[in-house]
This record gives sequence, C-alpha cells and structure tokens, in this order.
Amino acid sequence: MKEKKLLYALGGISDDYIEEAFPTQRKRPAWRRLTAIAACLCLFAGIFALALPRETSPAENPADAALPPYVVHEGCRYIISSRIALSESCPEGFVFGGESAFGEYYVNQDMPEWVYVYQEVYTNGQVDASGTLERTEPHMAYVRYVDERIRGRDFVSVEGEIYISLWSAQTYGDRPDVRPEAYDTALERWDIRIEEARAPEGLQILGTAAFSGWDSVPQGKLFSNTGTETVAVLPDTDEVVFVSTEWYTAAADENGETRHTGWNVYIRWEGNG
Amino acid sequence: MEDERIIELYWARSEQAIAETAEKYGRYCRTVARNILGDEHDSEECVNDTWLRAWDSIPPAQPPRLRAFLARITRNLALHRAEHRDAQKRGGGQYVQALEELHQCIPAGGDPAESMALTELLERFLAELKPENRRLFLRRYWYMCSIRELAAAEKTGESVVKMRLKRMRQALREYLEKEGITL
Repeated sequence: MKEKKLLYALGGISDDYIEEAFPTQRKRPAWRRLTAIAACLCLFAGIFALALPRETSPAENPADAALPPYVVHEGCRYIISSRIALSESCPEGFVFGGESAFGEYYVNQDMPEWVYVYQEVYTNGQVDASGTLERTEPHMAYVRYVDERIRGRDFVSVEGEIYISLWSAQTYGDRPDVRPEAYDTALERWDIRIEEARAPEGLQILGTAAFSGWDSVPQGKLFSNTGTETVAVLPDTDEVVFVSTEWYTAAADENGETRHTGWNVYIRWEGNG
Repeated sequence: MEDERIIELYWARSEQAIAETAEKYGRYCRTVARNILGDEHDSEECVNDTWLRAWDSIPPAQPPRLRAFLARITRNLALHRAEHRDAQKRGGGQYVQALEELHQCIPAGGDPAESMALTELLERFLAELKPENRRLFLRRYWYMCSIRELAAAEKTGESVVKMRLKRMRQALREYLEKEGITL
C-alpha cells in the first residue's frame, strides 16, 4: 500500500509537469497507421456496435462514442449494464416508462435501480471462453441499464444492512457511497484488502453469502452481488465486514506466480439514504 | 476547438462538450488509460468514465488546463480500475510493475505521511531533477509508459533506461528519508 500512496501522491503534481512529460508519439509509416485504423474500427465494431442501434453508432455520432449508452428517467441516469444483460421478452414487472434515444424503455417501481431499453442489438448476451460477447444477426431485445449510483459497486448485505467494498466505493457526487472521512478512517484502520496472515484478531466467519445477481443491491440476511462469498465479522463492531478474496502476484523476487488469500474490506453503504 | 470554448459548453450543460472533448483528447486519455491497464476494453470504459466524471465536475470546476485535468481523472480512474482488477487477477498493463519499482523508494517504518505533504515533496524532488530525467521519471510513473517505449523514445537501450530510473528511485528514497518522510 505504501507504493500506492506514492503513486497517488504523484497524481497530484502540477499541470506543468504533466504537460512537460506528455509522451509524444513517433510518426509511423503510413501502412502501419492504416493497419492501426483498421484494427481500431474492428474493435469499435466488437465492443460497441453489439449493443447499439445502427443509427447512433459511435462512428456516426461522436457524442455517443464518448459516453456509454444511457437513458435518463426521473432525473436519474441509467448506464448500460457492463454485463450486457439481455432479454428477448420484457422482464416481469417492467412497464412502459418512456422513450429514449435508443428506443422505448421500461421501468419497475419495485426495481428502481434498473430500466430495460427495447433496442436493436448484435449479440445474444452470451460470453465465450475468451470473454468475448457472441455476435448475432441484428435483432431487438430488452437491454438492462443500471442506475449509475449502483453500477460497478460491490455490495454485501448482512442482516439487512448493506456494506460496500472499499474498492468500489465513491466518496463524491450528489449521493456518495460513503462519506470521505468514513472511507479514510476505514482505509487507515483496515486497508482496502487484508492478507490472511494479517487478518484482524477475533475475526469470525459469519457464513457464505448467496449471490443476489449482477447489478443488484443485495437485501436480507446474507447476500452478495459479486458471487457466493464467505463473509466474516468482528464481534465488537458492525461498522465493517470482511469478504473473502484471492489474488495473484508475480514480483521479481517471487518464483513464478504466488496465490494470496485474504479479505476485502466493506463498510456501511450510505448511498441509499 | 479551444479549451475555453469547450469549458463554456460544459458550463452551458451542452452535451456537445463531451463530443468536443472526446474528439480533441480521446486519443490522449486512451493512451494514459492503456498504459496503466494494458487492455483495450478496460481502457475504453475508463475513458468513457472520464467523460462522465468531467461532465459531473465542470461546473463547478473550471480547469485552467483541460488536458492535464482530463489526464488526471483518467489516471485516477485507471489506477482504481487496475487495483480492482488486480484484486481478482493480474492485468497486462504497467500498473503492477510500476508499483513494484516504486516500492524501492519507500523508507522503512514510521507514521503515515499526509498525501498532500507527500505531493509537495515530490514536486520539490522533481524540480531538482534535470528536465530530461524528470520527463523520463514521469513518463514511467505518471504516464506508466513501458520500458521499451521509453527506450525507443530516448533512442537508447532498455538497460540504460532501467539504470536511469533506478538511480532516480534511489535519489527519491534518499530525498524522502532526508525530509523525515516515512510512509
């Protein structure tokens, strides 16, 4: 973590130095530039065109190229799910909510964190072994868009209380996930992730959280929106919970890759207040 | 379009601001993100998030230099994303390597230093470097260019670049120790 502090502190240096060091690119031969352009076009097609209607494809509309597709409903911005969740039929409970640039969208009072947009897509939403979305002929489907204040957040619910991972918590905006001081206190006290060998004394395994689904806010006794995870707590505080994790490193002084196990730190989510 | 005009568009809440920003600085921000993340898809999402963040920040922000302002946002987003991804699996970017190299600059023991104070010290350290060394240091640890890229840009060998960086890391470590900074 110490080197991370250095890395982030370096981020705050003056604009002069940032501009001065800007790495200018060497000119490449024309044939290489053309190859690169062709590769970029293929990439655009692969990443964006699958879930965007033709008439608003990024190549034709720079504004759409700049933003992930989103719709605004009752002042809230919904961004296309990073999971590209599709449905051939309108998901149960969702009713017509209005028109967006991409097509009609559907809302559900009991599921305010999602809307579905009925739009043309070029994928069935399935991901192959390499992690690439499977391509299909263009067809209409209901595509999930997620409240931007939920999208990308890792939550667990413990006895009805919702906790958010320090990895994904944001401390700014109209409705921050956690207050900056709460975030800083937790970071200072626990760190963002704790290796098993440094696990806090008295840590008690609470159980295995059930998967509540991607893009969801888990509710209830013990649920997680990132998969089935082991959750642990400390007996003397309910301000923090710990969720099992593993990661790999391969530093120069290691013999190949080393697997680490430990705990991601979650604190109370304040974004629902 | 001039930066001042683009910032006016943000203040007018015109979405054309995003389009103009993307056109002018999209490639630049993608380079910053790609150096850290090493993955096209992640980098593209990171740059898209940069536009959202800029939209949310201006107003009230009125950045004097839009390019540096955007680069700073992109870098922070990419670092967070790299950390998050690193929690699951190592990525192909320069993030992990740069982190490991910077570890050598950390003096041992003591209380945590305040980030702002550390930034100020880093600025003073950078000011003492020769401009060509400062550029090299920042291209590695701010922009996270690979050693190979740096060697090509400097028209020298990779081992020379590594040696120059190593000397600067040692100098930084000594500088921080001399200033009584412990992380």
